[in-house]
Amino acid sequence: MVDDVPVTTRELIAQARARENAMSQVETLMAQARGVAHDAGEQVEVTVDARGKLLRLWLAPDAINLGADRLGPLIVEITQTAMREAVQDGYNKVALLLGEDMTFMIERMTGLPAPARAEDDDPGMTVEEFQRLRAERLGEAPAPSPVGPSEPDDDAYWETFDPASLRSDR
Amino acid sequence: MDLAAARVTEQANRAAAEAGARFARSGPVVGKAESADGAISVEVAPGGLLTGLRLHRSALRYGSSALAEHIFELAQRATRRAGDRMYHTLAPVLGPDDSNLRALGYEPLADDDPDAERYYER
Amino acid sequence: MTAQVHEIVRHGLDTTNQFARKLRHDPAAISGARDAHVTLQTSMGRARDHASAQRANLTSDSSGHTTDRAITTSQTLEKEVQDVLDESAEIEKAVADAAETLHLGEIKNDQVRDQIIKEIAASMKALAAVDNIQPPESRAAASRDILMKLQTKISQLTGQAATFSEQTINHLTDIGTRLGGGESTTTSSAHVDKSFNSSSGYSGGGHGGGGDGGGGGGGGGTFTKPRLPVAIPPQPGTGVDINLPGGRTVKAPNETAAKAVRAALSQLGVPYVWGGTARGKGLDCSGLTMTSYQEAGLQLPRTAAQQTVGAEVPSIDQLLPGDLVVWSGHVAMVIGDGQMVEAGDPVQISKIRTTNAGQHFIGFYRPTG
Repeated sequence: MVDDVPVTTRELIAQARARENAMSQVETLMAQARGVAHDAGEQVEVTVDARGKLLRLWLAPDAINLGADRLGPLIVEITQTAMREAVQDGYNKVALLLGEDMTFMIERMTGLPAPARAEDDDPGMTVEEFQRLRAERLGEAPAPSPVGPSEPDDDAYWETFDPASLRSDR
Repeated sequence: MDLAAARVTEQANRAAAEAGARFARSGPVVGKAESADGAISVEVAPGGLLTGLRLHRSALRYGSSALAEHIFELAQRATRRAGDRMYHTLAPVLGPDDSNLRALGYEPLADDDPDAERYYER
Repeated sequence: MTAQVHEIVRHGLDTTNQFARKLRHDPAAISGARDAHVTLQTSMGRARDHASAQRANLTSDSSGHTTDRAITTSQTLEKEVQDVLDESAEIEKAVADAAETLHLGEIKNDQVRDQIIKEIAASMKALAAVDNIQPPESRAAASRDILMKLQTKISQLTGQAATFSEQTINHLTDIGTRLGGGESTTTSSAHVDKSFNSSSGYSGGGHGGGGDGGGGGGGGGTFTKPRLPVAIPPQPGTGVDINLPGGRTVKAPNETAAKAVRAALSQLGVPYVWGGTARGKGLDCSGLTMTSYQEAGLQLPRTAAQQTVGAEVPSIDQLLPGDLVVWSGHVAMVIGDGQMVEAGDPVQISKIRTTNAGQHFIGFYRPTG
C-alpha cells in the first residue's frame, strides 16, 4: 500500500531547477575521470579515462628486459585494470549528482556492475519483508476475529489473555 | 505513457536490427595503427581501450621512453580511426542527428587527416 | 530492453507529468465558476430589467412623495444591480483569462513531454546500435555515456517545463491580484491560483504515514511512499545516551538505534565510493546506513529509496538519533542535535535538511520504530 508524497508546484519547480543544476556538471566530471594501474614489478604504469582511452603510458627503463612477447600483453592487461579504476572514479564523481536511483539504473543498463560493488552487495531485504519481520518482532498476532463470549467465562478469559496486548509503545 | 514506451522500444529494436546487420557484414569495430617499420602494432576498441599490442623484438631497441611514446601515439591514432569507423557504421542507422555519436567521441576523419587510414590499410 | 525503456520513460516524464496533473486539475473548477457567474448574470440581469420596468410603471403612475421615494429607491436598486453585473463581467473575464493561461501552460508542458520522448527514443536507438561493441567494457562505457547524456538533456527540458509552470502560476497570481483581494478572492482565478500551487493538486492525494498497516509497498518511488505505522515518541527520560563528536550527549530511542549511530559516526572521513559497502574503505550513502544498522544487528534494504522502513516519523521536530532522512536518490542518518551523518564525499556530518540536488524528499523513518 502506498501513499502519494504531497508536493506543491513551487516545490516541483525548485526541484527541477536544482536537478538541472546538478546534472549540468555530469558530462565534465565524467570526462575528468581517471584510472591508474601498474604491474606488481612497477615497471609499467598506465593511465586511462573512463572510456579506456590511453592518457599516459610509463615504462621503467628495465621494462624492455621483459621481452617483446611479454611486454605487449602485460601493457594490455594493466590497461584493463586501469580502466576499471577509471570507471569507478567516474561513478564516484557523478553518483551524488545523479542520485542513487538514476546511477543504479544506468549501471544496470550498461550490463556491468560497478567495479567496487561487492558480489554479496545486496542481501535482498525488501520493505515488505522488513515490515513483516518487524511485526513478528513486536509479537503482533494476525488480526483477531471478533470473539465475544456469549456468557462471561472468567477462566477462559484469563487463560487466553495476552499481557503483550497491553503494550502501548512500539 | 505505455504507448510512448512501446513506440520508443519499436524504434530501438529497428535500430538494433539495422546496426546488427551492418556489424555482421564488417565484424566488431576496432581501430588499428602500426608504426612505419612495422615493429609496433596497436589495436583498440571504440572509445580507445587497448585490446591488442604486438611488439617486434626490434621495437625494444627504441628504449623504454621512446617505446612508450610510440605506443602512445599509435594508440591515439587507432582510437581516432575506431571513432571514424563507428561514425560511418552508425550514422546511417541513427539518422541525421549525429550528436549522440560525437558525444561518444566518434568523429569522422577527413580523407586528408594524417591519422586517416590509407586505402591499403583497410 | 522493454522494461528498461519503461523505466527510463517513466522516470524521464515524472516531473512533467506532475506539472500536467496540476494543470489539468483546475479547468473543472474554472468552468464551474464560469457557469455560476453566467447564472448570476442572468438572474441579476432579470432583476435589473424587472426593477427598471417597475420604475417605468411608477413614473407613469406618478403622484406624490411616496412615489418619488419609490422611484429613487428603484433607481438606486438598478444602479446596485448594474454595479454587480459590471463586477461580474470583470470576474468572468478573469475566469476566462485564467482558463486560457492554464490551457496554454498545458500545451507548453505537453510540448516538453514530446521533446523528452524524442530524446529518449534517439538515445535508445543509439544504445541498441552500440550493443555490437566489443569488449563488454567498451560497450558499457558507450552505454554509460549515452545514458548520462540523456539524463542531462531530460533535466534541461524539465527545467524548461518548470519555467513554463512558473510563468503560469505568476500569470494566475496577476489575474487574481488585478481583481483586487477581499470579496473577489471568492473568484475562480484566485481559487485556481491557490489550487494550482496546492499540494493536493491531484486526486488520490493521500496523507502520509497514517494507519497501522504493516505491509509496505515495494519501496519509495519518486512520488509515492509505503504506508507505514506512525513512529510513537518514546517516554520522556527513556533512551540510550550517545556522545557526539563535539561533546554533546543525545538520547537515541533504543540500544539498536544508538549502536547504529555510533557505527555510522565511526565512518566519518571514509571516501565516497559508488556501490561501496566496505566499511573503513569506501561507502555510498545507502551503504553507510545499511552497514551501520547491520553493525547494530538490524538488516535494512540495500537502496536509499527502499530504506523507508519501520515506522514513519511524522515531522522534523520528532526526529531522533538513528532516524533516516530519505529522498528518491539519497539517504542520511540523524545523529541528534539537529544534525545528520551522510555519505557524502567523504562521510560527513551536516545539518538536517530536506533538499538534496533536486531530488524528491520522501520522508523520515525510524527503522527501530
